[in-house]
Amino acid sequence: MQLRLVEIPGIEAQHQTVWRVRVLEIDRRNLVLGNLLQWSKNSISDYKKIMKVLRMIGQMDRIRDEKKVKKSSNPDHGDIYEIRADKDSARLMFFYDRREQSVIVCTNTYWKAKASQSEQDAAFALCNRLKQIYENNQ
Amino acid sequence: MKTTNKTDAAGSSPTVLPADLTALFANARQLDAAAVRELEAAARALDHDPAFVADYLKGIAVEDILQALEETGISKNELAGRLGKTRQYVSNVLNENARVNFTIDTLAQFSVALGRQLCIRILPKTQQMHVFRTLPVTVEPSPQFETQPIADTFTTGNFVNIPSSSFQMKEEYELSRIPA
Repeated sequence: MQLRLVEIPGIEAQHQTVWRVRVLEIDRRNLVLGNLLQWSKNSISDYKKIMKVLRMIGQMDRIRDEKKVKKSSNPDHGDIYEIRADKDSARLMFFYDRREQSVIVCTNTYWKAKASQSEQDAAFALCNRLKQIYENNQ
Repeated sequence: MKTTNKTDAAGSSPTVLPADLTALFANARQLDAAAVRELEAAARALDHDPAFVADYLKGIAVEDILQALEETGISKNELAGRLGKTRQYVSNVLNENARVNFTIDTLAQFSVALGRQLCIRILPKTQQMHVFRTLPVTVEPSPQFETQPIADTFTTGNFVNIPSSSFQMKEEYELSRIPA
């Protein structure tokens, strides 16, 4: 199993002055960029809102507006967050690597088609599992 | 525009990925070069979209206001009072409510009310703004310098007779700074 972190097109150096923003790849595949491309074509409002927060998140110690970034309320999930397309459906799960690398690691996405707590929980849980794998492979 | 070809090593290990995750990643769409170019073009288009640029800058401003409120301990009610506005108005600005007139005047009013400064520039794409943190420091005069002449202080680099008063020192944020 090979893990690596890849850049997100459109997230430039000026957007990453505090944190580097990356996507987790396992064996050269990731669960984020394909969906980002799909949103850019089919759900432009969602895409713009996600990109807006992605460009902000690396410039600040943390995002305080919970309409943009929200931590999982389930204590079992640990330190897991979602980027929200406010009033829209796209969600992007991530965690902070607060060790010397200072990286925001984006892991997976979630499309909130309806108010489903279980689906959102599953997306947070997946992010948490990937966080464990990432940390165990450091 | 950077591509996804540039990577950071996150590590590798013989650890076997659980079967469900193996299947999940195996089914994930892998972007070829053309798809990456599409994604780059979509991101570039954002920079040419005034509505997106304005929305992004509003988001930054709102976060700066929220950070200032947190750091100064000023409540939203108190901020509304300083602005001579209602609490609802402050909430509408912080919610980026499209019905609120979010102008440079608005930003200036908020920054003054919070004791912050507002920085707005229109720059070439080849230039970037840097954030400097200003730290108040006090420097005590060194006894060995107190009897030296003041002349040519700056041309020779002999900094002498520095009064023990406060002055400002600038420290640039480092790109790799680890937040608290």
